[in-house]
Amino acid sequence: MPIEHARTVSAVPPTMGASTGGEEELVRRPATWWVRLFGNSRSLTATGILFFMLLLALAAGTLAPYKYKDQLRGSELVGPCASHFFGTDYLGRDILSRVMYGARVSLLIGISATVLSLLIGVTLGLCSGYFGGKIDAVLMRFTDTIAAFPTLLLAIAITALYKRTPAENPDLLVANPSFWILFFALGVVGWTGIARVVRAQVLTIKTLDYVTAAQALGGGSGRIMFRHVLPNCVAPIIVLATLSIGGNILGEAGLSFLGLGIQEPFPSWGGMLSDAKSYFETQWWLAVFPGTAIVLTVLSFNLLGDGLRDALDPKAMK
Amino acid sequence: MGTYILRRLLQTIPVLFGVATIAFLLSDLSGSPVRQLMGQHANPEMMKRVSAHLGFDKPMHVRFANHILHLLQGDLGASISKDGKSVTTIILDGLAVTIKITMGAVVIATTLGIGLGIFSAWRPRSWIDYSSSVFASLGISFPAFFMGMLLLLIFSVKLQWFPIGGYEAGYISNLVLPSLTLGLLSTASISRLTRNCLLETLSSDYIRSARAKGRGEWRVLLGHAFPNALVPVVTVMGSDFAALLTGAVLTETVFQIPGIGSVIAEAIFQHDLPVVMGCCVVFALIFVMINIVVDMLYAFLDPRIRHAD
Repeated sequence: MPIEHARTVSAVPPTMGASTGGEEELVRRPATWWVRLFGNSRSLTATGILFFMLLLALAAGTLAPYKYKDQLRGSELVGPCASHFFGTDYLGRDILSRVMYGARVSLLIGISATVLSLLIGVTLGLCSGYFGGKIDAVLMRFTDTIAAFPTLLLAIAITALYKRTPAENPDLLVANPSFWILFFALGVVGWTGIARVVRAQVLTIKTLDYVTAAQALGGGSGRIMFRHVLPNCVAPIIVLATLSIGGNILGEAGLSFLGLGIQEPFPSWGGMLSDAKSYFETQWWLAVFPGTAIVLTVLSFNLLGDGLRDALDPKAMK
Repeated sequence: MGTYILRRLLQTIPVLFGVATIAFLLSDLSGSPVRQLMGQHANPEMMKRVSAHLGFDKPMHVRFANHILHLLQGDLGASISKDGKSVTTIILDGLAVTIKITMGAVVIATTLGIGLGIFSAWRPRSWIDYSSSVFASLGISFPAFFMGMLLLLIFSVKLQWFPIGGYEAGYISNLVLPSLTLGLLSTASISRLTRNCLLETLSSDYIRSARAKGRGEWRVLLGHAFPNALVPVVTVMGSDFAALLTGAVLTETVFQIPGIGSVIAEAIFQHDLPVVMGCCVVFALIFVMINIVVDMLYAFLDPRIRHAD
């Protein structure tokens, strides 16, 4: 009878039904992580906003009413109106179009710098936690040193080294050297938290029996670290990475605000706020629209990160 | 306790040495500043003599040793853009102003943050709790400079309560908005943490005993639960103070305040690397010291934490 019952619940394979037995277990299967994630209205809204921003960034070329560098003579510093929803800046450039192109910088830097931080942080954290002893001591002292630097200031120091020259092809973001400087500076300072969390995870996982079994079977350190230990650290890494994208977008905005960001004329939200510095007291739209774009995007990444933390938490898997 | 402090101080030496090394390597990578110092049309003979005078003709390890020796004497080198003015003086002058703003911000953040936290814990899931959670999510997503601009637009342009910017020693009104900007941002994290720690403490046995004794709700909350919830809050305040200093770097230019942030912004603009690197070293020193103070506060706040030797 139990086997026949299992067939009626199509999502459950019959073997699983047979092993757990009883109809209570069959009906009350724990929701998968993405059901829990998107059942949460905050994470759902955040994901929606992020998809919208991604769409703006990708389609800025066709959706934007003007090019980001179009200077409309005679309509400088025009307030929000029918032809310029977000107004224009001091050079007569359409703010809405520049906010749309600016999404490219924020998202691309935010995500790519996080990938670099993940590469460094996960590798160092894994080695530190798995090997322990002297390797752990050296790597953690190194992590402490980098963490002792104020993150933004270290990023400032790295970007300040680079002498600014006009980009040869300003339209293509990845051909812009200032993009790579930002990517490097933010990625190379942001990995310390990831390394510490991965190390702490590895310290508990490596004492588990299955790791000992893998070692007894003669698995190499690299293979055990990446194939057996790492997959069990993925949940906190995903959460940290999501939060770190938001942090990197804030960092990029800060650097751009100080004049260390993407080379003009390509717009970035922080750079637009920097341009607004001397005008915003009378022309509020110069600051409010790009600023709101930053807050919305960072807020969405933070909410998504919190949502992921709740959804991936093993304690919630009961 | 004495040996503990000594040991912690000794532990910071390798970290600070690492910081100084990275700062040196970064500024050394950018090459000799002599050309920038002398301008485009300096004659080569003069360049050589200035190089020799400033020690830039020596091999790298000698320059590094000199750099460390000078650091130990509190000398961060000479500024390029300000006619060789001492970087130490420039940074100390800037810090004096910045510290005032951050102190104001700390006062705002602690009173507002702890207050909001206690109210949210008093009535969890009420409208106070809900709005303080929204406020907290927004607080960690706001760039400090954008917050500064919004406050200026609201309080100086619209309501005209405060001056638009600038700084004159002795006038508090110029410092209110910058302090509020930074304070509001760290209120966010402090209020959430206070709430969560309080709620956790409130579910423990000794609180039940206190209630069973017939203690009033506020006595329980403030007298019994709060002191124990304070330990994690102090940690966050320590790291927040560090974040406030970085936030100050970004907000000062909005309010035209001649603090460390304006010093850095100007140094970046002039490509004055010794000043930028000097700030890095000084900030790292402050961060490390704050961490030690926070660790010592633990033992004071929670006698169960003993710093065994």
